[in-house]
Amino acid sequence: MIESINELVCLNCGLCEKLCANDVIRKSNGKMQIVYPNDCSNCMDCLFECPVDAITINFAMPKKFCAKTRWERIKEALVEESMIGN
Amino acid sequence: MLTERHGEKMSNSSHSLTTDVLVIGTGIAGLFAAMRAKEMGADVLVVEQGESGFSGLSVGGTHRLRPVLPEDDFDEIMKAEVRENEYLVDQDFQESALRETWDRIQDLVSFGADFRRGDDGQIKMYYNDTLYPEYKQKNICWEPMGSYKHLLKVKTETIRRGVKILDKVLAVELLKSKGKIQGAAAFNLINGDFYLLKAKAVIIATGGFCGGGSVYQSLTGDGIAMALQAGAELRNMEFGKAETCGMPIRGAGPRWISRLLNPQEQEITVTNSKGEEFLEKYELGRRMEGRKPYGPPFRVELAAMFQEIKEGNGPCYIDFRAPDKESRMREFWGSYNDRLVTEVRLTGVSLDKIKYELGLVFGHCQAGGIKISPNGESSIAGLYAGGVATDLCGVMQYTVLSGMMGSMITGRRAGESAARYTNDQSEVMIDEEQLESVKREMFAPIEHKQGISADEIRLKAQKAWLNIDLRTQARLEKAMEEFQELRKEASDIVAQDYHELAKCHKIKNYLYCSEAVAAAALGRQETRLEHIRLDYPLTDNKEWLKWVIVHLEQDKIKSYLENLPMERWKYKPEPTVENRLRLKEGTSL
Repeated sequence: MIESINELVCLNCGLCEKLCANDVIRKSNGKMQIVYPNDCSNCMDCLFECPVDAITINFAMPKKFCAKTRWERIKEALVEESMIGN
Repeated sequence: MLTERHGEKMSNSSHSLTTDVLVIGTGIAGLFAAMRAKEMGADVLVVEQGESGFSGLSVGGTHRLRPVLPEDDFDEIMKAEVRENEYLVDQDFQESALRETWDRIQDLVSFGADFRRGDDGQIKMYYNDTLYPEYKQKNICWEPMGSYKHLLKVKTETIRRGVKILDKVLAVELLKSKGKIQGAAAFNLINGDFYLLKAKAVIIATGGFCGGGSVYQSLTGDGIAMALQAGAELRNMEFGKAETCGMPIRGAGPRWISRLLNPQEQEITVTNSKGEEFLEKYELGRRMEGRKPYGPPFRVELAAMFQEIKEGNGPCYIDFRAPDKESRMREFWGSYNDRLVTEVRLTGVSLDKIKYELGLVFGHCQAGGIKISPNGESSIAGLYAGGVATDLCGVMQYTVLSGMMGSMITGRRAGESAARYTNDQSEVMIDEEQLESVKREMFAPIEHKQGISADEIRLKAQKAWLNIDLRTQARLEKAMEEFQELRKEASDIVAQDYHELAKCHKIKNYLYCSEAVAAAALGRQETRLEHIRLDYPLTDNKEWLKWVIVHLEQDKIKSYLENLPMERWKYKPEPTVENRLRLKEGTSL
């Protein structure tokens, strides 16, 4: 998820706020702030579009968005299905 | 009522706005709808939950479009595309829409968006394989690719034409009086202001639904669920798009696997845990004749992979090495390649590594949605829809009319039809009693002192999705029960602020759409494309020409089958159409 916005270089242009589909970043008191980090889905749009590279992302995923878990569950259940003869 | 948070002004005042046509959503479908309705003389208001011009799938969808050129052999393309759509497309729509594709591209160019051009200045064509070896689709690439700036140009043109847009406003419920849609109720995500949006006609252009929670998290099927609750029918909800996951890529990375393979480069191998190229074992249709190795888009392959895992031959692996990988990627992706390669590396994947585990899940319902006529009308008066919130009249993924192309066309048609409809409509009638209860319900999660959060519901819903991922009669029935239970549980949902309030409404929409997918999947008793029924593992080539229609009846999701009017359509399936997914003679699992 998004980790930080470097205040020293941030222009507070608001582009990251506009691009964020999950309403994670907002401008508050004239400054860009990470308000809802747990809703970040690591789409990286802010990271790549930021004109001054102020954004850091750490790629940790909140549990609710974890694709791997879903796939692991599918695999396990498929094998179980065959064992019980479905 | 609320504590001050993040500098927001918690004013919570009310606004009442009146227009002829209300458009919900500012992706390419919504903007084309708004422009056309305005052009037809209607007063148009657009609301957008995010930031218009930056929001929605259209921003990320600016990679390629599949046009049909005026000089193309139209009959051949029509025949091939009906087949690509598994004959489940409305042929009246497809016929007229295919003829419209080039005009819509010309529209985009006139708005200032552009496409990659050759040395002669003409738009450059690329070609991709389809399910059938004799048919290749034309592709044109946006230039630059993957840029939000294209949609912004369409937005600028929309505003220039006098359309009003309200950003950060989430429509929550459609208002209906005497069987007709009369507008919508909405609120502002930042300050919680209530909006009564009175309109003679409403156009839904809110994008598709992504269930299970792996890829496009913000696509909770809001417009689809609103239409369903207002009484509209949905169609083809059992179909979607197989999304890659399971690779050791963090975050949103999994979606990029498909972009590591450009449409002109299909040199990959897919193996099971025994090292067998298992796709060889199955009758997968004529796509596979004389062609090896295989590649994305993964459509029929997904079902074969499920079989392999079920038989203990999992996991499966994908090897996407190719000679001169990076230079070949650059050739197709152009300047976008730098971002792509960096992004892939950031997410932990090496382009030089031999193989990765291949995981595929039923991802984005870009195929199903609100059932529309070829003119963009829903099944209820005053409600129109465009884009991937609709069923695109039966268009499947990876066809000429899927995605942005179909969205421009259906959006524009919805705009035209809605504007015409408003000419015959008198004053908007709002049922005051309904309005009061809508408003109360809308803000109820904020009033709740305690209860379940949207995130908690989401986690539970994603677990319930396992019963949709593995489709059997029993599992799908269980999924429907689970989603109904979760809907009940969500009546106590709680929000701390307006951002969370939006999530509360979005998760409720997600639950309706998930249940609709389960209901539709129950109705189709066969395996076809990404709809995989473990209890009906083969394609049914006798009884498949039916649409599964889903609707809401006293808050219960019901479905019925509708026969396709094949007798009046020109393009009919060949009698010898193959039964896919059967094991080939002499092979075993």
